[in-house]
Amino acid sequence: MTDPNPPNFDRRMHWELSPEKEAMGAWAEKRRLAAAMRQVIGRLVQSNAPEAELRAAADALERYAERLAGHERLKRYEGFSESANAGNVGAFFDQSPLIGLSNPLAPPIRIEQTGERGATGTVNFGPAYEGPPGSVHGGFVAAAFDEVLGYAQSLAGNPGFTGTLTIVYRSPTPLFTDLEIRCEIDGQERRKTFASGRLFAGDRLCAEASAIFISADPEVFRALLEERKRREAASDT
Amino acid sequence: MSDRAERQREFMERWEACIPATSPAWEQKRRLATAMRRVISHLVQSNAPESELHQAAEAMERYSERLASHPTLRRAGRDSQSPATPEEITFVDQSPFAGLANPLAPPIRLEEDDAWAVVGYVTYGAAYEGPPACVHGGHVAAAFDEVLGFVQGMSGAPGFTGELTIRFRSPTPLHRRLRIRGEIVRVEGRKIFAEGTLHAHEQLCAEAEGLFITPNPEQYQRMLRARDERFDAQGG
Repeated sequence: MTDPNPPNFDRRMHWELSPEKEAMGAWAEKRRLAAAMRQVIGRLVQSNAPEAELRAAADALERYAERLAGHERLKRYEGFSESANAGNVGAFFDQSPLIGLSNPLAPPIRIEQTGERGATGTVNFGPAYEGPPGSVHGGFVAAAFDEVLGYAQSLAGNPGFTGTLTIVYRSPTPLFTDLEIRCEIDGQERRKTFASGRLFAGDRLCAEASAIFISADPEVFRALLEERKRREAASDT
Repeated sequence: MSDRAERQREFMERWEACIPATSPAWEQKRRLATAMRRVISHLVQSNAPESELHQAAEAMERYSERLASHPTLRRAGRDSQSPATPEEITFVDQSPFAGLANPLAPPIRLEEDDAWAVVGYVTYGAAYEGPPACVHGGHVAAAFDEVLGFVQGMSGAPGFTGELTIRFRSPTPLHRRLRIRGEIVRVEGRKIFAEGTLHAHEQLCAEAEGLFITPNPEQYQRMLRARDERFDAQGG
């Protein structure tokens, strides 16, 4: 791939092309399946379902995994603009483990730009994300900050990868509650972008974060893409 | 045996007691979680046709309804015969990072290392991708929270994360076995300080420092009551 602007370089543009866009056809069904899987995951961890039923479900899912594996694979980092033009939501952000509507792992977080240098993420975590009693696992609090801060820093131009991330936990982050993660850019210094954010449940501050992002060296990014393509080619054969 | 070694031994015994599934239903639940992980991994990469996805979505929605019709577990009280506390059992099965019965978990497999230290082994699939062919930075941070959060329990008075700093040193590859080591570096009253490293073979990918704070018993009881209220409000 020789695209001078690989998709990861502008999270904002691709975000707008992806979750904001209504999915059609297979993408819409994929999102629906992902949503149903999220619900099953939430119910499964709490359920006292009987053995026979769980066994039958596991059998059916194993068969379905085999069937899915038999299809052609998407190349996540390729053909993005073509798929976007075709009314396809595209492969990139729909697959994200935190915001992707097609990824059952994602809570999902919804992110919007606020002002010129800020972004707000909204999310509601279900029972499968529990850490301390009734509260979101601290690991997912950190992961959510990484995602929303990552979006905010891309607004400065010259976006990059996370270099350092610090989370300070102020009070337990409740499950089943609409949370708001407000992030903004604090400054830039050569290849570094500084960003910080706060997570609220209503008026209550649950956690704060600060991060340094290091702008991606296009050569490094390209090398990662090449490595990925080699791996895909190897696994297709 | 020193007091510290004794606490560590007790902690690991309780932990290991949680690992075998204690009933056939739990074994199937873990199997179902494993199958869900495989479906998730294939789904994000798949170009499956609309009709097939449509059928799968309908079947999944029906199954979700069926699951909702069963009584739900309370976090405590799964097995009164086990030497492990209900929280430990819950951690093993339900944690979103290490839990064998939680499809969100990669899962991270935790083992004792040397004094006041553990190692977590994990391989991330396609659904955890951030930068091309690399684990999402958020999941790297989350894995440290889990491993450091586990090791600090060896202190005998486990706490909740107060502060966590991750330094990303090089991209963390997908599809490779990663080794996350965590250790307690010191304990000061209710504060437990832990540090960790994440390696892919010889390559250092990330480092972390965590501060954990032991809650006082009343605080913990309040959280348990709040939990019941939250789950009751969800019908769970």
